[in-house]
Amino acid sequence: MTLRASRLRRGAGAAAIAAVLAAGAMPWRAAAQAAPLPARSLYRLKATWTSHTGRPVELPSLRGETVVLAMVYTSCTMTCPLITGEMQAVRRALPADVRPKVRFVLASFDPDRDSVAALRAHASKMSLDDRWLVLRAPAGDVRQLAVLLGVRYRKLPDGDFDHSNIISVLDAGGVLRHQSPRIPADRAALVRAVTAAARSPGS
Amino acid sequence: MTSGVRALLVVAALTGGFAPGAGAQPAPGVEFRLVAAGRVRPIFAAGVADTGIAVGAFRLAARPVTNAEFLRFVAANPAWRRTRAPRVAVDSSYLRHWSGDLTLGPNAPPAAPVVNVSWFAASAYAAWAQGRLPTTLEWELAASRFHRALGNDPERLNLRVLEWYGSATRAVLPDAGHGMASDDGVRDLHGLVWEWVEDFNAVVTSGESRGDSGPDAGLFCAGGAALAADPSNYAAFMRYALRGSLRGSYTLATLGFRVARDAEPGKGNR
Repeated sequence: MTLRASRLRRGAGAAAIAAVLAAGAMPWRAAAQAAPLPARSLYRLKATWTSHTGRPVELPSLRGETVVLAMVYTSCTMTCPLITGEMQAVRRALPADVRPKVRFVLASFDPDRDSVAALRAHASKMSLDDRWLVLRAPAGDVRQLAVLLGVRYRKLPDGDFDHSNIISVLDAGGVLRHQSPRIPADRAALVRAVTAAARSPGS
Repeated sequence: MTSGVRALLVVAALTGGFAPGAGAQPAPGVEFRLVAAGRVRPIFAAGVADTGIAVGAFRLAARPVTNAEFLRFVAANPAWRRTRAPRVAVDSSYLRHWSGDLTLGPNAPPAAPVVNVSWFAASAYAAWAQGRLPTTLEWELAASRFHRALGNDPERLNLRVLEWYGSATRAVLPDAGHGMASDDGVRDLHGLVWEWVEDFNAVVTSGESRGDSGPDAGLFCAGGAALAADPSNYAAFMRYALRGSLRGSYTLATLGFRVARDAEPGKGNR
């Protein structure tokens, strides 16, 4: 996954440079500042999420940061707390120069029950600091993000969910660089992927 | 294509986002049929009563979306053209049976169902056409009612569907709208193409799972719940397995879609 994604990223970067040269009009600095999103960037998805602080969050606003992202629902008593705990453990294991560059995001697939207040209570309960975002969005936007990530989920008659245990790593351009499919996760692989994404030049 | 032209197309693909297009709306072509409320017994149904899950009435296009209709969509929404749609939303076989961005060609008869479209492209079309994709339960409800055509014998439907699943893929698909009609007047639900549903990713097992095995406990938070309710319904299991193997950017030569709309209370079939 990591190798393949980085090769694709280099390809997209070369194509973008070729495009700028072909267009001929765009100065380098401007091109770097307003670089188009990579073709495989998840930030091409148009959706506005709301954070646990009640702030609107567009995913492209995460551009420039390495993002560790999972989809959960806050009333989950089974694997979701383990997923969050795994992300906390990954953060603790990151090299000191990388840790401040990484954003941790939980996106809820339960818009019916995960109000902003529920997200805030969850952030407090799990002791999530300001490097964390806990997000909600309307059901259609949730579905689109889940499909982009390959996350499967199904609402059960009692209101709980069956769901994937995937943790994803996005690079500065919003391109998927690594996914951990299971709990317990391969933490060393996650730490390596986050470190590599954070130390590579931004898209 | 020269490298300069290709480079410019890359720029176009990179600058656009992918949201439902805002281009001109489609001409009213397809009829929508009211699918009466009913109950569906999903194939994997832990925690579901034997009587199944209640599904409300909704409207469903009488046939799948055609090549000609999808051409109008991409003409009005350039970001969804074959060479421009972002790779995160469509794989490299997107609309591969067309001759060009805006040319159908010999393998894509105008009235044949459009195939080689991803879930993202199908969803964007549906929103543009002022509708949505049907949910899995809605689709299964609509596709279960053939009493008029086949008599009150679910096994006849099962055999008919399996016969189609076992037949060879056709290089050029026949026109949509001529297949067996359901009791609600919806055609081509079986026998023409497989169809995307809005919540295809609600299949919470790996694509390799079989009916007699639970999901990998590490991959899914599912409490060992995914056991087959009705393993004899092999046709439904085939559809379930297909949905479980798909990603949202995938495109297949046998996979199309149709548009659904919410029911309008007090109105008939239109």
